[in-house]
Amino acid sequence: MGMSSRLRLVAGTGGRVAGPADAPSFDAFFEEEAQPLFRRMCLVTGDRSEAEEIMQDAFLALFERWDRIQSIEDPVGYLYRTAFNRWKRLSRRAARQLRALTDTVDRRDEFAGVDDRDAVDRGLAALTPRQRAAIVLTEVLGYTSPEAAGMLGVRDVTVRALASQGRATLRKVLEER
Amino acid sequence: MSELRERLVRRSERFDLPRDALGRMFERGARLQRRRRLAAGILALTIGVAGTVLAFSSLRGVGPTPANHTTSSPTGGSIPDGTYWTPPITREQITATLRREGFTRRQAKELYFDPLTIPFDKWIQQGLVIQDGFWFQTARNSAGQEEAGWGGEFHVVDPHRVQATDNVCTITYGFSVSGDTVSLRVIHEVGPPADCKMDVIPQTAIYESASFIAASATPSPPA
Repeated sequence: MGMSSRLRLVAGTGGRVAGPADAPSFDAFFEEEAQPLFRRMCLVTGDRSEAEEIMQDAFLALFERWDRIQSIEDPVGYLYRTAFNRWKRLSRRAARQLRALTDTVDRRDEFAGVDDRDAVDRGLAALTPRQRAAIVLTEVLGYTSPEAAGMLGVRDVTVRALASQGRATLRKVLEER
Repeated sequence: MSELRERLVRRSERFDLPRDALGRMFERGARLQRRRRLAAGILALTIGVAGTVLAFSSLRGVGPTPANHTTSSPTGGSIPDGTYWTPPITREQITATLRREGFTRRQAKELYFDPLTIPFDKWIQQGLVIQDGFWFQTARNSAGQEEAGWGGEFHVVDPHRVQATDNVCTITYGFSVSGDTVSLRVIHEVGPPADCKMDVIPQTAIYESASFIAASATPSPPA
């Protein structure tokens, strides 16, 4: 599942496109991409700790194979795919734990507890994690539906539906003010 | 930039990474590695003890006969990149597979059927995408709904075994490739027990209920 050069420009803070002839060191790559990835995953998860854990795992996975990854055409795309892959696993595990536990799970959602001054937070709080993921991938990161579908492991029609529902909810909340 | 996107990006910019993010990441990496080493050590010890017992039993002529698994891999000892699907599998087939491996109907229900995020009506097809050293598992039901499953990196251990990992759980599969068909069996899974211990049941259901056939060669499922 390839990613457009447009995405690479959006995903990185500096918008630098790294190719084999311009392979960055791992530290430089981390420096450039860690903050954007962390922020996007915060939007998806609504939880700083979880977002940092996902970000760390994604970078660790790349670090272990950095000699190969630094020379691929699109290491940023690879990074995001790995991060969403990890997020899917964590979501699945969380769902399993929720079903197994009778007690309420104390999971902190950055968007759930905010006062109603911030419409964006209220909008995000009204979305499901899957809708947030679809919105972040398509709206913020600029993936096409088939590309986002590949990362989320669903059909592109599902991504379109999730993003459309998410956008409608966000717009509704944003227009309420 | 659309207004919605602009507002989302602006909101996300209020999240700042803690200081020394790189150091924190490597600390986590070291912690995970220690846990993996510990798990691998325990597994090695278990295998060593089991091997000793088995060898001792064999010498006395009372040991069990090892299973005769097919291990032919005429593709050079690897699984070719591509998308693979099983034929449609019924609930009864999956239950029978798990029962054969010694698991109960209740375990099958609680650890495989219940956690599915797509309804299991008539049948399910298990999917496997092998791409650039990555391993993605997926499933689709008779209504065409898809579920994203496990995903991680993998490497070939030897011509008959592959090991897939997502930096938490590491699963070793036995495999054989014959033409377009890949057959898999779960050998073992190591990692933190909270994450990986009971995973062997869904893993068995997914990978051992039927063989995987390359997408181009997979017959269309019944409507």
